[in-house]
Amino acid sequence: MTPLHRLGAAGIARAYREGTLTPPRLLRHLLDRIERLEPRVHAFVRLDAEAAMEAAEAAAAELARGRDRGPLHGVPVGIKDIIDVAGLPTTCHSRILLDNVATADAAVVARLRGAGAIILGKLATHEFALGGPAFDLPFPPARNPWNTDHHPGGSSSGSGAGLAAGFFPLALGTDTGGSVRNPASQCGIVGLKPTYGLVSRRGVFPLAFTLDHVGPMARSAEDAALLLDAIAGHDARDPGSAPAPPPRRPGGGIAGLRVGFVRHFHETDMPADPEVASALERAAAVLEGEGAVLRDVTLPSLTAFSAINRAILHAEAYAIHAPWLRERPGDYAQLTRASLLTGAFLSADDLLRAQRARGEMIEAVDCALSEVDVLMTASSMDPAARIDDAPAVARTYPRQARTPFNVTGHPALAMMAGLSTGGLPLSVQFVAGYFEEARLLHLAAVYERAAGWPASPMMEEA
Amino acid sequence: MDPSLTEALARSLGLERALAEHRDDVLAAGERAALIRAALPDPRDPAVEPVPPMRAGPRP
Repeated sequence: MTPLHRLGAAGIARAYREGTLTPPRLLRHLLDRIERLEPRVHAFVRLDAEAAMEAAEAAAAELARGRDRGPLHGVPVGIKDIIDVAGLPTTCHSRILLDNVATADAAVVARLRGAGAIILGKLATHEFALGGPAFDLPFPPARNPWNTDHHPGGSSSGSGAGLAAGFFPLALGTDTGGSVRNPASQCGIVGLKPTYGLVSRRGVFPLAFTLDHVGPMARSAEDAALLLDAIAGHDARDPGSAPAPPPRRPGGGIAGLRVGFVRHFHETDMPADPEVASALERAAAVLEGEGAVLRDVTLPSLTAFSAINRAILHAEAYAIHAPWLRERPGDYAQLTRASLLTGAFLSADDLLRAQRARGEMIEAVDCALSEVDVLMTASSMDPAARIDDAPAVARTYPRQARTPFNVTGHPALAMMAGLSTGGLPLSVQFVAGYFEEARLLHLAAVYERAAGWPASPMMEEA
Repeated sequence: MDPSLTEALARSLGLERALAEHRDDVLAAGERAALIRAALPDPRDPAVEPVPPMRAGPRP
């Protein structure tokens, strides 16, 4: 029998409707697991066990009465601690907002409650989704369940770590420069940055308005799809919200799917660790084995994409934090402070150059996607570094190919593509046209079935 | 970026406290901004507009 913490959301939903599991029983199992393993993982900033159990009992009662809210009814979800949950602090993992209690749910949290999901608590993040991993913060940084001496990626670090540790089947993260896809890559799970505007940002503390996305994180593509269905949709109170079409559901295999492999990202622009490069070639072979047709495509360089992302991110983040940086700079962790101050020294010309170059980047990706159905790229260029090796973290952290798709707003998904000789996840990224999340999730589901990568060793612990 | 310029800019932005208490972070930030500036591509067409463009009328 599958241990309960290994069930994904889809499996949980089936078990509830077959009568073999109830929300309170699942939650008790997960809370017991969290109590035992959390001291090694530090996924949580605030576990809301009592409220979660009340919600589980309410969900069980509703399901027993025949009131079925859908596949997430009674399913626990972790929430990154920059996303508001009414009545709980949104600390952004910072001294600056330690006492900041949310008065209302973020739009995505309200949608989850409407779907009957159980809000389990607030999860560790890099400070303000930017500075980390860091040890000079009010809460410890999350650690990687594959090897707790290593970081789990970020900034949605607790989301990735908690999923890989089996603390919950679903989590929300945010992604401004890769922060859903980074922990997905380093923790061997699935993380989707949706099309910009598909998911409301209302009630999410901003890092950079132009680049911020809320995204689903899960241990499978199927579960990520279920979570996306629950949180996506137009929000008139989010100025960036898109009037998106409903998601399509492609079925069948991927025979004939045209995949554009952006090799230059990891071969020349930012040469990847050889194990990452090998994993990407193996992923390409798996896709070809499933009938996909691969060809190389060329996009603008990672250097250009990265500079545009950094200029916009730092300019907007500084604008948000300037009052605190003037009044109480010492209340930030050193990494966060140093990063946030960058925007102070960017000029209007810098920002306009970035915003003007963005148009050309969008056109280049759109042009590539007019000739293929999806793009395939590296995500992280290295496996996760030791969390206590600050120089290694500083060197490897910026080595990634995720930021191009924050710049352009295209949906991008990162997932496991192998294991390093050190036993750490390696990753791949897939990118599709605007609002083609269904295509991405379908490809991810086919790849994950064909590749068959294992879960973290911590998932084997009872 | 010249440290004295970074310091002058920081003071002009009201960042005296950050400069006094975390001078290294301020100077490093100036350097980082300079690196970003140097890596930004220039648009090929001088008439290209920033994204997103201004639009009048009701929001969707």
